[in-house]
Amino acid sequence: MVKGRNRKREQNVLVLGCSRLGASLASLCSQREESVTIVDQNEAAFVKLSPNYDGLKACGNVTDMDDLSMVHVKEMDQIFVTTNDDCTNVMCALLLRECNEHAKIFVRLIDPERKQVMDGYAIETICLDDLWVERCSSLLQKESENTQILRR
Amino acid sequence: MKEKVLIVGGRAKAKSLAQSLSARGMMPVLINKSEEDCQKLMEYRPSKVICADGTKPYVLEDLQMEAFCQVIALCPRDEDNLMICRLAKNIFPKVRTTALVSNLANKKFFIRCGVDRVVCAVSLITRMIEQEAFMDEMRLEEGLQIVKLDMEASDAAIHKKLWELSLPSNTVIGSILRQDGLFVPQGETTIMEGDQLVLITSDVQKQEAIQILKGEKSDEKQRKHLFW
Repeated sequence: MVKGRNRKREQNVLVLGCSRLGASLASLCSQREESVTIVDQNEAAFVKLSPNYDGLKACGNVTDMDDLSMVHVKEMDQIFVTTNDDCTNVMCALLLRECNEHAKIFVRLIDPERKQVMDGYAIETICLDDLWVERCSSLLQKESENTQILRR
Repeated sequence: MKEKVLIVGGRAKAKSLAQSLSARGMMPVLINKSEEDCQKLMEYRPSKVICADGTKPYVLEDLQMEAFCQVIALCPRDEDNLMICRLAKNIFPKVRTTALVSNLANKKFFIRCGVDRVVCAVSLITRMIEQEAFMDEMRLEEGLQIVKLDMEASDAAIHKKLWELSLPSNTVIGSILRQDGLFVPQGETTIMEGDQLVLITSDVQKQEAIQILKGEKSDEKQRKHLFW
């Protein structure tokens, strides 16, 4: 008999940097019943997590291999690197890719041009400015479609 | 044409490096993101000081025409230096990159990430302090060291030619300091009293080499004296 919640295909998720983005991602994953660990060098940052967050919290430097190995990076399936510094995120992602080849790594970048330094490492980058442009163009597209329908 | 070197970040280090590079006939260009640091760097008038953030791709792309052969990253944060070196590799063809790291553990990782040369200031300084403070030995890379040896009249190798001594395989006498003159010895060189030898040897063969040069262990020698 399996007691407690029936966890279907539990994923190990690691979130690095408890920025607002990191905190909401961690809270979301914890809500989806995945096993989540969040890392930040500043303990005070964890207040941003939702009160229902039931994952692990670890204090540490995300570019320090010793600190990273404390949170079992090798066993992670999904990793989100979301501090608010591009250089930190890039170095952290490259370090993680070296010790964990199978995980999906998502990196937050502020400057989309910096993507080039991670070419060939199978690391996904997500940049707010790019998302803005995409969203705007899709909204504008919809609007123009609507006006065309009205004209008809 | 003068070789162009781009130095990113660093204040005191950037300044003295730029000075020494221009003395060697190269042309250093400095980038620093702090305006105050740039003012300081300008005082010494190198070829060019640019006030910008060198971790930003467009800053380096603007310099693409300069054809730098070397990029040296001296920022205090390791992650910034990694970004600078990886961008430089993409932007300047055939460039050689050198990065400063503050955490020694990052040295090998940086090399795996394609940085050509990595210098860890902290470990260099602690190594130098250790040498100055504790011994006449200097550690080279992996298992090699330099040993300074003062020769006395009673030592085994005195008045012997180098070829007569069967020194272990991984050992050479790099130089001899004799009466304030320094020279590199040959096989025919005779070791004299008062010579100061500089030995390059492996960790393993150091004791054997010293024994051949100095003779029996000093405690045995002392015991002999007691017999007399």
